[in-house]
This record gives sequence, C-alpha cells and structure tokens, in this order.
Amino acid sequence: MSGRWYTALSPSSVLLLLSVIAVLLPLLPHLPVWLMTFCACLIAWRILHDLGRVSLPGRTVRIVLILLALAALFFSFYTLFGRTAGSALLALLLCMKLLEMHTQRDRVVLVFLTCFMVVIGFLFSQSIFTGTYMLFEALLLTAALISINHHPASYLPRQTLYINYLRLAVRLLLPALPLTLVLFVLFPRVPGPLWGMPEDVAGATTGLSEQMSPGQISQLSNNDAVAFRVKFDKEVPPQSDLYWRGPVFWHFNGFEWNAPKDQFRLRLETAIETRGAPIDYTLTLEPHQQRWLFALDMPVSLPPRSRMSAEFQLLSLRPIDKVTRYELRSYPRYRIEPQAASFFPRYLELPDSIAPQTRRLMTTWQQETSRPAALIQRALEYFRNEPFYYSRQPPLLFDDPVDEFLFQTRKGYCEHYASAFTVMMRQAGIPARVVTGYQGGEKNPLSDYLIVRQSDAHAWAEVWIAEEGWLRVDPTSVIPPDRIESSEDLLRRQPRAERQLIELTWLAQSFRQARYAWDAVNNRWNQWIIGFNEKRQLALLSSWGMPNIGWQGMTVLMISFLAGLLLLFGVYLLRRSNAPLDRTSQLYQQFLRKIEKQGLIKQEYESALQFAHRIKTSRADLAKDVDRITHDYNKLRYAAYPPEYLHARFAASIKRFQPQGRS
Amino acid sequence: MPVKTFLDGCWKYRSPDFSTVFQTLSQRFNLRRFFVGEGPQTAPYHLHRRNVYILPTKQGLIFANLLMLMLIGAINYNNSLAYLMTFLLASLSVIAILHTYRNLLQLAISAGHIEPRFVGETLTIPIRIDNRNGPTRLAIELQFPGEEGCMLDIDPHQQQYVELETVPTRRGRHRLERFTIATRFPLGLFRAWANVHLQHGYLVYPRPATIQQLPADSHYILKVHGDQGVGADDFAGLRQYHTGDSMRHIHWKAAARQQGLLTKQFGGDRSEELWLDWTSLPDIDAEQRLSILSRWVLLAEREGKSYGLRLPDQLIIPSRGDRHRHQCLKALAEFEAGS
Repeated sequence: MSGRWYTALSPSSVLLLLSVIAVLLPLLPHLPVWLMTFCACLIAWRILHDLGRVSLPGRTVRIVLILLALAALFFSFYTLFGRTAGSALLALLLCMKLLEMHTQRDRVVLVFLTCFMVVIGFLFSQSIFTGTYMLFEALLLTAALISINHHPASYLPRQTLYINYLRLAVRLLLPALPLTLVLFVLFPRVPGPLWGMPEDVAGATTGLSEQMSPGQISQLSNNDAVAFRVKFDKEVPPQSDLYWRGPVFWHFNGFEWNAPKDQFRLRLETAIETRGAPIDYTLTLEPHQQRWLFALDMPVSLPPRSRMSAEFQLLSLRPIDKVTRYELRSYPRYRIEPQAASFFPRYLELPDSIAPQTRRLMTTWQQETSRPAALIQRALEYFRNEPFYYSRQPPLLFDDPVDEFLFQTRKGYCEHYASAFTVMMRQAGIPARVVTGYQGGEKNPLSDYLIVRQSDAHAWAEVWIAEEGWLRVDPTSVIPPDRIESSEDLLRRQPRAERQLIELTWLAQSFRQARYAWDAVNNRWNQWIIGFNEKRQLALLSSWGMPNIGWQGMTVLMISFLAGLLLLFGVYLLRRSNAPLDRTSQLYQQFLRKIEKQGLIKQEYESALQFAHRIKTSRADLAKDVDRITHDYNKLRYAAYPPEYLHARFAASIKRFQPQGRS
Repeated sequence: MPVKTFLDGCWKYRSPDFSTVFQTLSQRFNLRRFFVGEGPQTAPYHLHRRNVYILPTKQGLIFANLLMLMLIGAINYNNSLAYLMTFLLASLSVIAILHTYRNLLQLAISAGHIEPRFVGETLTIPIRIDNRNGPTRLAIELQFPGEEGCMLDIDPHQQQYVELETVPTRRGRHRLERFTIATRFPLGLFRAWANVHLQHGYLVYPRPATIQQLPADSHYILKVHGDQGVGADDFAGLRQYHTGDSMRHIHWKAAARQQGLLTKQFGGDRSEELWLDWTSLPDIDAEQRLSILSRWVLLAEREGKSYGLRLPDQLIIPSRGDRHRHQCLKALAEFEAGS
C-alpha cells in the first residue's frame, strides 16, 4: 500500500463515505449507542475494503448481520416505525448498503438514501446550526454524485479531482439557492399533517415537569435555555403581570403534586369575566415534548388544535416536538366566574396524616379570623416575618415535606413555598391549587421581543374566594431581598430599571450583548424558517400587496419567478465560448487587436505565418517585431516542450509592440 | 404580415403561406429528428440547440420519486428544513439540466479515414471531437447503437480523437452508421444526446473463406509481353547497367573481367500469372464464391504471385502489391450478384 489515504481510495468512495458520515453525525445523540457503533464498524469495513485490506462479506454473512441488527432494533424499540425506530432502521440500511456497493447504480442508490437520511435528521432538530449544516451535507452529496458520474483517466492527480468536484458542486448549488428560496416562499403550503405523527419523542428538557415534588430534588438547575419568546403587539406589560401559566396541579399525596387526567373541558366564554384592556401577543414556543402551551394569565383565546383544561391550562392536542408559534389574547385583570360547587372537593382534599404541626398552626389562626382574605394575608406575613430563605440548593425533605419546610429547614425555592402555602390554605378550608409556569422574561434590547428562559420557571398558588373567584397568590414574592441567597436570583427579582443599576463588568456586559444578538438571530430563524406555514405565507404575500392570492395565484407566481431565474441562468451558462483562452492565445489576440488598428486583419483561413508574411509585404517597418512575435507564438503553440523563458519573452514583445500609424 | 425569406440568393418579402409555415413547423417538431436524428451531414457535425436533446434518466425518475416522498414528509410533519432540503435538491436537478445540456453544445464532430476491413473483423472508426470554443467537457459518451461505447473527457480548446469500434456483418460500401454522442454529467439525472449522422463511407471486404489453397486448375494465360525481365525467378539474360538497378543484380564477375557493369535480368512472371475466376466456382452461392475469391486474393498476395481477377462484370489484370490487392478486394466487396 503506497500513497496516502486519499490517493489509495477513489474520489467517489471518499466523497460518498464522507457524506454518509456527515449525515449520520447529527443523529448520534438520538440513536442507540450500540447501533451507532455497529454503523461505524460497517463504515470502517468498507474503508478497509477500499484500501484493499479485507474483502466484503458474502451474501450469507450480510443476511445474518442484517437479521441480527433488525432483531436488536426491534428489541430496543419494540417497533420499527416511528421517528427514532424509523431513523435507526434507515441508518442501519444505509450502512448495510455500503457492504454491497459494487456498481455505479449501487452508489447512486446510496446517495439517494443519504439524501433521505438528511431529511430524517430534521425530525430531531431544526436549529440554525442544522440548517447551515444542511448546506454542507448537500455540497458533499452533490460532489459525491458528480464523482460517481465521472470516470476520470487514471493519470489525473486525485487532489485536483476533489477540488474540481467540489468546485463544480458549488457551481451547481449556488444558482440553486435562489430557486430554493422562491420555492420555499411561494410553494403553496398545505396545512396540517396528512396522516398521524409518530408519538415517540425524546426526553424532555424543560424547567417544568409533569409532577412537582418539593424537597425531593435538592438542586434546581439554572438552565438558561430559551423556553419561549413573546412578541407583544403593543407595549410589554409590567413584570408583575408576567405570570406565564403552565401545568396546574391539584392533587397532593403528601410528597408530590400532580394532576390526574380527568380534566374537564371548559367553556371559555362563560368562565371568565374580563376587565381592563386585553393584551395581544405572539408566542414562539421551543419544543419541550409535552402538550403544555403557555399563556399569560388569563388567556381568553385558544390557539389552533388545542383545548383548555378545567384549571385554565392550555393543552395542545399533540406534543410540542418542534418550534410552535401561536397568537393569543389575555386579560391581566379578570374574574373567574364561580363554578359548580361539585368541583371544589378536589381543591380541598389532603391526606389526613400530613403536616399535623401546620394544621395546628392553621387552627390557631382560624380562631382569630375566619375571613379567607385575612388568612391569606396572615400566611404571607408568616413567610415574610419568619426567617424563610430563598435558596436554589435547599436541604432535602424526608418524612413530611410541608412540616419540615415550614418549621425546620425554612429554605427553599418557589415550589416549596407554593406547595406549603397551598397545603396551609386547604387546611384552613380555602380551595387552593398549585400553578406552575414561568415568571417574568427579559426583553431583548436588540429587538422587540421578550425571552423567557427555563431558569424563569416558577410555581405559585391560586386560591378561591367567594365573590372574587380564583386569585393568584405568589408566596415566594414576599421573601425580602436580604434573605435571597444568590445574587442571580436577586437580580431576577428586581424590576428591570433597578436591575440595570447593579451593573456588571464590561466582559459580562458584552457577553450578555452577544447572547442577545444570537437570540435575536434565533428568533428570526424561528419566525421565518421554522414557523413559516400557510398562515405566514399568506400574511407575507398580502404584505407584498397580494392579499387574496390563492394557491393558483401562488403557483403562477412561483412558476414565473422560477422561469425567469432559469432563463437568466441559462443565458449566462449557455452563452457562446465559456472557457477563457489560454495565456498564449490571449496575448496573440492582443497582438491581432493592435495590428488591426493599422488596417491589417487576420483572415480565418490564414495561418500566423501567412498573416505575418502579408503584414511584411505592406509594412516592412514592422517586419522585425512581427517576425519575432510570430516565431515565438508558433513555438509556444506547436513545440513539444517550449522553453520556459519563452512565455515571458512573448508577453514582453506583445506588450512592447506599438505599431505607429504610417503618416 | 409579410415573411422575409431567403430565395434565389437574395432576401424576398412575401405574404405568409400557411402551408409553408406548417411545413417548417412540422419539420422543426418532427419526431424523426428526435428519435433518429437528421439525415447524413457533411463533416464536421456541429452540436447546437436544435440537435441536442435531453430527457431524464431512470435514475432521474427515481430521484423525482424520492423528492415527492420527501415533499410529502415535509408537508406531513410541517417541517421547514425538510421543505428546504427538498426544494434545494429539486432546484439542483433543474440546474443540472442546463449543465448536462451545455456539456454537449458547441462540439463539432468529424470522422477520419476508415481503413477497410473484412466482414467479422473489428473496424476502427477514428472520430474527432473538436471543443475549440468550449469549456471542459467531462464524461462524454460515444456509442454506436447496440455497441459498447466509450467515455472521454475533453479539455477546453482541445480536439480529442477517439476510435470507435464496430464489427461489420455485411460486405460492401457502407455509409457510416448513425451514432450517438451523449452525456449524463454532472449528476446522472438527465441524459443529453445527439444523433450524429456523418456523410462518411467505408468499405468492408467479403469474409475470406476458410480454405487454404489456391485454385489448382489456375488458368495460365500466355502473355504476349511475358518475360520482360521484370520477374524475379528465372535468369533471362544481361543488359547494360542503369542507375538505380539493384546492387545484387549486378553481374560482378563480368565487372571483374573488366566487361563493364552489366545487370542480370530475371523473368518468370509469365509462369506465375494467376487468374482468379468467378466462373471457376460454379454451382455455389454468390456470397460463398466472393468469400473464396477473397481468400484466394489473400493467398496469392501472400505467396507473391501475380494475380488477376475475373468477375462477370469486371476484369482486373494481373498484378500484385497492396494497391492491387485493395482493388481486387474492393471489386469483390462491391460486387452485385444480380448483374
């Protein structure tokens, strides 16, 4: 084996293998480790074969391998369909195909399969990075396809071939980009899924979970990932109104809050009595694999394909597995109509044995006053006056989370406070529940929207008071600033104006600035690429002055744009004589132009020598120059090995040649 | 509206004649041009927009199906990047149409001299592809229908020579068959091709029969001018040396005897003059006869005999050498049995 790897392997093999690897890489975190290891082994086998080290497996070995792998796949997923299992299956087939790739046709099939694999990858991620990476994948695939269709002479140096294939791939892809853009914007979009979506989804990454168990987790992650972004139609409401309602829990077993799935459907029109001005906004939700939709308290409209639970929680009909945009209207001032009394037992229910100490405390308070409002006030004052601390790393709670928290540890974060408060209210006979969601959000100073991060996750309580309806009570908010442990949290709790007073170092500032800029770019990407659907398409076209363009109009517009672009490109590409002349010919053309000004034009049938002879008969004064130029030209053109210096001499004599008009 | 036409060497205006318009159109869109190509043309055959055709290949159709599948997936999952990828690949293949098409445009094709061969032998057809004005052309295929083609790259401003091979099955004078120049480059999704029909002929000699003997009953015809001393076998006498006579034929002994330079003369051509006669092969199929005659010509030439050919319609007087051999074989190749 001589030569380096890229000379030992044929360019089409290298490009093909590279594109397969490039396409499988992004799937690495989503597919089982054993499968990816297996795929890597198959790829390595192919490379070793191409290097001439091993032979490809026979038919029997291949069949045994694929059956084993299929069985393993089936036992890790119990299905071969759905997103993860399906893409695992395709990755497996793709790599198995490497072992039976003999003809040109096999290579083409492999390229096609790989193209399909690229699209499968988009089911897992649609980030900016993925989008940019797609161009790279397309470049490799195009170059691979080109190399498969070329059968280069063996003496050509490999390096030049790679460069040529990649250059040609770029020249094919660049003019394809505007066409792609036209198709993307104008191709009539069909709303909704054509059939069911696979239900299997990867693990959730969110600041919220399906149940809440205060005291079980001793550390709250400070995850800066974006939960959602909000663009308000008018001005941003004050921070104190920014309670983003998420999962509502009403069932407590002593350790864990949850919401059993028997939620009633709510009729919105009759349930909420609104006051004040509405707030209209558009929310762009990052995928979190749950069905929760978030809304500012209290939403009065439903996004498409969603419903509202009896606890006023918005639920999508299917899990949010990709960036989702929806428009909403909320009223920060509202009153919820008293509901059927039969609902209330579930908001009062508590396991009998829990929190006896708290129950005693509540009994003493109830003796002082029976007014619910006063009791709520009393509880909040209790949190404010007793030494309660806000901490992200509270001690674990074991036997009775509520009592331990209220009377011993007294350190916790929002979930501890919301949970304890709700239990206190229920013990005092006031219907109460826990609401989780997000609180606040930071405005991107470089753009006009609000970023809500996972670290803004919050929990608060809702209590029901006759005449008033459901009221939001946030027990965490009463903890005075000096009892908040970390400055981060302190900052988060300050209003925006104050926040800027506590200034950061320039480094932190510029980092923050860069993060805002990056977030703005991400937001654009989400709005214009990921969230581009039939609604946005229509909105965009109507902003271009075509409000009632149907799919027919769109098609006509699309085809005319495409035809126009293709015509332009076709004229550019098919114009005569594309290749530049070589240097010698260019110089000789210069010479011909100079002599043409003297009225001497070389005819098509004339050779250089004949033309020189004709010049000399009419212009003896040019004879010397013309002879030298013609001689050099012929030598450069026809000599088997023209000497190197001749190029320079030829160029110099052409440059010097300045025939003066004969007076 | 009057139509401007070039008639009798000058431009003339005349009112439109719809039958002419129809004729022009039906000529332009004649399907024959598409499937068969135009009639034979004098070399060089220029490839331009009207004689280069392009259609998707089988792979192209599979790719189109794949794109449909991807589009349906994109619609179902409402996945923007899947839409983008599908549209990018679709645009790419449309751009590839132009590149594939351009890969053939502006080439000029001509054929060189084709050496005659016997039926059953491989005939080499030298083809020149002139890429005088064009960019680099990659993966150009040349192919006779039903034959294995060849693939070549042509650098800009270069001419490339290829030798196409074909095995002729019939003797006679042939027109150069229509062959195709095609390309699938760069993506293999489309195939552009042109049917090249050059006005170029070649000769195929009859297949020599497998017999190994010359006719036993050769006719020896007494030649009036026989034994002129131009033979090679029998000594016929001496004559004065002329400049240019072979040194080996100088009568050195006489020179030693101071008799001056004398050249030995040889005769014997008479005795070896052989007539290959059509009528000497009665009761055999005409092609079979030609085949035997063809073998005889080869044998006679190899044995250095002077041979003549007598066909029903043609008589070639005895001689030898390559030209003579060609003349005889050509007569056999072009012989028409009916006459």
